[in-house]
Amino acid sequence: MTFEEIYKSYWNKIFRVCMGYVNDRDLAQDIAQETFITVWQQLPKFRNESSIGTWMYRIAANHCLRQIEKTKRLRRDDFPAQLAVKEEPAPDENVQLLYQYISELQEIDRLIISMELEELPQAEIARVVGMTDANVRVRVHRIKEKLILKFSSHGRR
Amino acid sequence: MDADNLKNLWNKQVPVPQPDTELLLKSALKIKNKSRNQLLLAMFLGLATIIVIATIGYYIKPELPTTRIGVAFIILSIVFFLISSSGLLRLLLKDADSSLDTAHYLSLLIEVKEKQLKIGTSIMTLYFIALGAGILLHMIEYTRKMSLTAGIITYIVTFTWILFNWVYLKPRIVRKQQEKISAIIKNLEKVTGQLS
Repeated sequence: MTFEEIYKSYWNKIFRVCMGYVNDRDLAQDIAQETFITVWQQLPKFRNESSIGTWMYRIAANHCLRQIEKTKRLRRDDFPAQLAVKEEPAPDENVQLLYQYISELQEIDRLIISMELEELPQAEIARVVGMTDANVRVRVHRIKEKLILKFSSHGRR
Repeated sequence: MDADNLKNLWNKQVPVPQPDTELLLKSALKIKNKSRNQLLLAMFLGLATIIVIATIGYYIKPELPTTRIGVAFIILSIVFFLISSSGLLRLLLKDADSSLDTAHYLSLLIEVKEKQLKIGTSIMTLYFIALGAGILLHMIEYTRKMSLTAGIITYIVTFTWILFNWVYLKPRIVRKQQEKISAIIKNLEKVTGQLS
């Protein structure tokens, strides 16, 4: 796969996973771009030891976690100007709630549920985060329960 | 609300349009060049300082070798200071490979941060040692030419200043440097704990 093909087929997925982690469109966009810049730099070193998807999600997940150490972000003008023009999508309350609830989870749980909702197989998620398959399965189940509970308690309000 | 609905909602998030590949790669190069330029600038500053002070050392024609050694120590201290304050250390230490799985990545990242913390503290200590030693050696020649009282006063003032550096300034600077990295390490460890 060439970089252009990867970039085209993974941009939306990677953006949504970053969005799940930070719940901030600008920041998610920055992390997604940092991810693709790393992918572009490291693609010649990619050895097919894992699938390209697992490899990409690992880079994205680690870039998300890297936010822990960042006090200041890369300046926006470091990135392509066309992205400065933002089209805010019509906000759907439930969509916003879902992303908000996810962003309230612990860091690793945010990554796991984002990849799960992005329909990455659980065995792959396990390989991205470095947990056992069984552990991921249990974790996904618990997170989903937690999210559904949050929605239902919101509905009762 | 059930699990399927979660998936439907998730997919309704409209992603931002992706930038042109060419534009993205241009920004990649821009970011890469920025780090390289920072490194070059720090090296240039270090070199320029050495040349300036070496030139001064050459023209002052001191009578005692201690004066020259003193100047050399002061140059060294400036180099240490530049290394520790310019973020050069972060650029010199190899970063963790982000294509590793998260568990490995986090443990490597913690290692890198700990190394950064340790080297940063050592370099700051070396800075204060070199600066203090440099000043003391450098002043021997000039205090010898002073009267006894003036010489003693000069030494007392200098020693007080060095003591102030060691007792007050150094711990303060080191603590400030460490606080940020220690907080990052603590957070990284907290996240690592979530993996089990």
